[in-house]
Amino acid sequence: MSGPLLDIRGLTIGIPNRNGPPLQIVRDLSFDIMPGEIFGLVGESGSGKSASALALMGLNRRPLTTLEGQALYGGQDLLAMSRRSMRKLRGDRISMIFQEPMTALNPLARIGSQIAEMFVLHRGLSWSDARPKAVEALAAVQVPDPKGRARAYPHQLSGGLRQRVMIAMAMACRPDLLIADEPTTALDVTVQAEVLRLIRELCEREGTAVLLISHDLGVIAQMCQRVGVMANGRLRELRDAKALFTDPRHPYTQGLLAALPRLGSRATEGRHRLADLDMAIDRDAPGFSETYLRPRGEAA
Amino acid sequence: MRMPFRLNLTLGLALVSLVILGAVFAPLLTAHDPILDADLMNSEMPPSWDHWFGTDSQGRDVFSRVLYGARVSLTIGIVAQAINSTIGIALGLSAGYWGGWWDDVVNGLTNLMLAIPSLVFALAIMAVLGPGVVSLLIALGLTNWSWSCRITRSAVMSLKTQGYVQAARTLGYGDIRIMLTQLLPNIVGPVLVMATLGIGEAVLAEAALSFLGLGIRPPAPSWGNMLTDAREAIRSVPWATIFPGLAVFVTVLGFNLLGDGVRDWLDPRMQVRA
Amino acid sequence: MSAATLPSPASEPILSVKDLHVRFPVAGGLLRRRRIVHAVNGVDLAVQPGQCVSLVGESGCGKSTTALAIMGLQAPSSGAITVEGRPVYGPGAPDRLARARLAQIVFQDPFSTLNPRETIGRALSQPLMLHGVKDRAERADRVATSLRQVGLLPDHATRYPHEFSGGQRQRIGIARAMILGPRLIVLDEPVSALDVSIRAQIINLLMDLQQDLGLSYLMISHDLGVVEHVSDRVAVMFAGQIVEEGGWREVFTAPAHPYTRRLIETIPNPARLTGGAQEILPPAPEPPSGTRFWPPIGQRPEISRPPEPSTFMNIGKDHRVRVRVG
Repeated sequence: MSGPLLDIRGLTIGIPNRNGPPLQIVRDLSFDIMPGEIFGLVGESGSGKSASALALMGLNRRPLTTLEGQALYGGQDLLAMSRRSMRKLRGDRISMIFQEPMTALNPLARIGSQIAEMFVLHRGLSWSDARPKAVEALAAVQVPDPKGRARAYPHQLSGGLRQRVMIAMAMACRPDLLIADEPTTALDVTVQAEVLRLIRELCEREGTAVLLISHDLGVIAQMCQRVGVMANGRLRELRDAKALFTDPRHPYTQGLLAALPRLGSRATEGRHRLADLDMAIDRDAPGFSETYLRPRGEAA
Repeated sequence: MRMPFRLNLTLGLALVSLVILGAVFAPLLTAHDPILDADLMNSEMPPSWDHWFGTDSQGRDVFSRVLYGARVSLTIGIVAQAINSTIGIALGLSAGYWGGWWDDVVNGLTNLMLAIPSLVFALAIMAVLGPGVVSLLIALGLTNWSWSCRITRSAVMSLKTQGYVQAARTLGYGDIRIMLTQLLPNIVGPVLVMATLGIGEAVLAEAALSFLGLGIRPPAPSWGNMLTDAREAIRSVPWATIFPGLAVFVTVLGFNLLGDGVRDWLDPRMQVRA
Repeated sequence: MSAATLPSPASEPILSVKDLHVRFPVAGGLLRRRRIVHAVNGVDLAVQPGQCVSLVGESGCGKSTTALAIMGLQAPSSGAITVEGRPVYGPGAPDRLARARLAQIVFQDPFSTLNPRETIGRALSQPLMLHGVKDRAERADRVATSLRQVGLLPDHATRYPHEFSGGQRQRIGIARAMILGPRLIVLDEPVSALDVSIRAQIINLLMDLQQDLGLSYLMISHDLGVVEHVSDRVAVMFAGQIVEEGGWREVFTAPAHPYTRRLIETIPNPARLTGGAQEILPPAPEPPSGTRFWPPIGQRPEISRPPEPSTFMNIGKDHRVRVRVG
């Protein structure tokens, strides 16, 4: 059995404070991602899940700073890497897709050239060699009429197609790890289903591991093998997905699942009041900060 | 966060009140009459204890002329810009909110105003009305509203689809009430900054018109005609141009800082709750 | 539990929408022709007193346009909308003040729903003043009451919107919708922009208010979990038309139209992982003989042309679906 692809240990992110202890956004976050695995990180806004992902890519903006921790990838610490080598890695071995593809795509460049640029940048191909590869990449993400669409500008595409283009760019160099930060939050449910299926199929085929970040428990349940639940900057529970959803242990996870109006629950449970997470748990209570974690490979 | 906006407001307020107080209390601050005390024997004197800013080529006291000139320049600057802002905001608000043919009309008018240099337009009006303070106010107040209008209109276009504007409509607010209570307070920032820049522009435009003999008739002092009077002797009698120039500078700077400060002060998000 | 799950035919609906059409021109480029978008094509809806009816669909299906038309914010091309028996448009329509007291709306985005330059107290008391509550003390009293009703404190009236969280702002938006005492409230994606824990609180609040004050809701949503949880009736909208309509139980446990089925099947649902009983839909029913479900959902809906004729057919006691004969 090979080791983890990415091993994050004690990641702490915050805003340094000259006159006292830093304000911590993420505290002592540790988890690992196995090669080819889909790992889910779920939490509400402000839980620190996105800041953690951006830290791995070296993309957090000041004053947000990585204060402590390691993220070991192939023997290198991503968090201690020079900007130059990080840039080389980014988009090549580790790539990222965002919630709103429009902000990540250049509005003034044709999408074909934007994808081709990935091959030029990371594979050293000439533009004339890269262009047909870009069309291939578009075909791989099931964009209809890839040749024609390669000449389109981002604003001419629907939201779902734009996200496919982003995926094509992210997967162009067959990365080891794809970080997907709320990749389908801006999409309609039927489009979301297609995009999620595409991510899963592509990553399975290429052996790419995925760090899927979402607030949507449904998306996480559908996609992931293992799940970490974050709240108030800490990892609260780290379990196999099935174990987490059938038998949540941490009060926060329990509250989160009870607060969700689940499709199909009314026929059996009636029109009940949803659990009020803030009433049910006291985030300041001493017990709350104790993380419930289970090692990988627990019996479900 | 709190420090810089305090600084803007305080400094702006200080400079503007300095100029306004100087204008209002001019007779108490100087013993010299700005027009009648022409003493050719004492012309072109450098600044001294008796003449703080020196004297001009006709021997008049520059300090008292700057003070009295402030009355003219400030009145024209503030009143003309008030007229401009009112026109610009009214047209921009209504055009942006109502849209349709009215928007087309206002847009056409704005483009027309932007196509003709406002000074040329003002010149034409002055030529018809003849020189004088009232004509100046009309000429400068009707010709420089297009930017206020543009800014207001585009801000309104993006604000009118916001939930609170829609909610106001469903709550039964009339159009005028929505414009005044929901839209106007949210565009006051850029409009105020625009207005303070406009005051400076109006002061300069007054100078230009006076220079062309269409503004304030000499010998009555205004900063504009002081500058133009003294421009030929700028090398030998620099104080006669430096001090009115400085007055224009201080006034424009003061209003700009004041505009920034007031904008921040009006924004509830910039306030720190104790 | 709402008693209105058994609608009595005698009761007058609080909201009635009949054959609503909304078309608007979309400016093409300089050389392109102006296109007509057929946003809403013949929508029929009724909300009985005390009921919550949900209009479900994806972006661009016309559900929000329908909501705006009901609120008087988007003039319909044809059709009739009545609230408490009074037409919203045309002859006999109440003036804007009277209309405001009939129906109100809660918007999706908690951040743009409040005027950043107005205190909460002013945002709530201004409408009262406009509607003839001249007494200052009475206004303050009613503002305090409505703030309490939505779970906030009367002291909050002196604050500005930026001092509140997203969930609190949504509460204020609800208070504003209730301040004039309308019986019908349109909820336009009321919880889509909120976190799971806040979402649950707002849903609970809406259900409590409905029960305590006897409110009727028309909820616009794409979130089927929320819709199933709170609705008495559900109408599924696709390409400007309602394709399926019925009681919540009929629509969610025996969905007939392929579009409804696709919506329910594609929603990511944790229950599927935990082996909940509802993970698998019952087999799709056959359309009534001699018909097929309409419109087909294979390709993207065409909205620049009016839809082809179709009919709405009963397939159960309280369950209708759109089909095409032949």
